[in-house]
Order: sequence, then structure tokens, then C-alpha cells
Amino acid sequence: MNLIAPSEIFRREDNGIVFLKAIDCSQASRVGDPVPALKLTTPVPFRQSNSSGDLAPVSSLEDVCERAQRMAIKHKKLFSIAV
Amino acid sequence: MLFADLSDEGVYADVANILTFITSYFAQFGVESPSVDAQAIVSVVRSMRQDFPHSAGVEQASPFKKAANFACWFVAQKPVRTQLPSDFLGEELSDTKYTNAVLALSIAIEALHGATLTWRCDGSEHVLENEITLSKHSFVDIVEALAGGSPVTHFKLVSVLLEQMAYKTNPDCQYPDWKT
Repeated sequence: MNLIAPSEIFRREDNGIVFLKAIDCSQASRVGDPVPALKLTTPVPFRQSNSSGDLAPVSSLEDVCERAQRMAIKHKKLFSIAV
Repeated sequence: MLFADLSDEGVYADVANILTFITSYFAQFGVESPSVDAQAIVSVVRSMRQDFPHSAGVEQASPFKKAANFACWFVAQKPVRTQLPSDFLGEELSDTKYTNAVLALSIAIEALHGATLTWRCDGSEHVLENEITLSKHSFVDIVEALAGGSPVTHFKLVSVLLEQMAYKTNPDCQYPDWKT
């Protein structure tokens, strides 16, 4: 098992996301399934849209980052830990 | 934030979103490089789309079902291998299975903030404008319950739980009470 920091896995470019490590996004389906590696070499455009149903859309990775930080700060306050 | 779209490109976008969320969440606790099994994240994203446990499929599923399916697959895969600081939830909940449950719940709650509901009765749309809020007591209880869950056994209950939590802060979004 290859455990690495997320920042080592992809980087963002103007026209989308480039994955830096070989990860499989092809057929992995169930817990424990063996998965072949597939490395993405062209940027994936960052999507804003959702399928119908619809969870909250995001506009950018920065938006995701901001939401996560806000959530973590709220949880820290909830548990009142010293930082 | 999740289910960016149902194409392969959407899978990559979901993976990037989840990895970004995990990194940013940990950073607020002073952990700069959490260990994550990236392949397990991919498996979560794949699994939560395939054979979606709803009769009309993922395309017609409510945001609660989508968020619940994500959360159940996330805690089943346990992709995060770094513990949150022990003074966050306490020593008893310092195992990584609880860290994964915290992140699954946090991402699900965040994905529901701003989600759109479509009522089946009249097709009207309702936006969950207000974020789900929890007491410390409820947060710990839900994390403990979620940590031992599986997609097969917990999907429906987690979906109903998220729905009722969302209605607490968005009472106008729920269906009218059923009157006998």
C-alpha cells in the first residue's frame, strides 16, 4: 500500500487538475478489489456542475479548501482544544 | 463537492475535492502531511456511484442519499491513516476509524450545505441554505455510530439521519407533516 500526502498526488493548473501519481480511476469498485494503475497525463477540467439531485456545487479547489478549513475550525471550537 | 458529474472526469474531480478537503482539514490541527491511501479514495468515489442503492439510480437520488452513500463507503474504506490529535475527540476515539468517521461526516455535512432538494409531489426546488449544526454530544455519538458502519447495513439509516439533521436547521425544506 502506497500512502502519500494528498499534495503529492495532484497539482492544479490553469486548465484543470494533473494527477502526479499513478492512481486508478478506471474500474475500482469494491473494497479489496485489486486495481490496475492508470496515470493521468492531461489535465482534468475542474467541474462545477452536479448531477440532478444535487449536492452543493463547488467552484474551485480553493473553495473546497476554504470549506474544509471552516469546518475544522468549527470542530476545534466545538471541542475547545488549545492550539 | 461530491458527484461532480458521472463521467470519468468527474471521478477525478471528486478525488481531488476529497483529497483537498482532507489536507485542509488536517492543516487546521497543525498536521501538514496526513497519510492517505489515494487508491482507497478512488474506490470510495467509484463505489458510491456504482449500483447506487436507490430504485431510480444515482441520477434521481436525493442529496441525502448521495451524501450517505459517500459517508458509508468512506468509513468502510478508511482511506485516512493519520489520526487527528488525541485531544480533539479524546484518547478513546483516537483510532483512525474515528478519524475517518469525522472526515466522512464533515464532508457529508459540507456537501449538503447549499444542496438542492426536488420535491417529488410538485417538482419544486428547495435549497438547504443553512449548514447542519451539532452539539458536541451529538457529534461524538454520530461519529461513534458511523465508524462501525457499512454501506449495506447503514446506508438508509445514515441517509435518514442526515435528512433529519438538515431539516433541523432548514425546517422549510421538509415535506409537510403527514396527517392521518
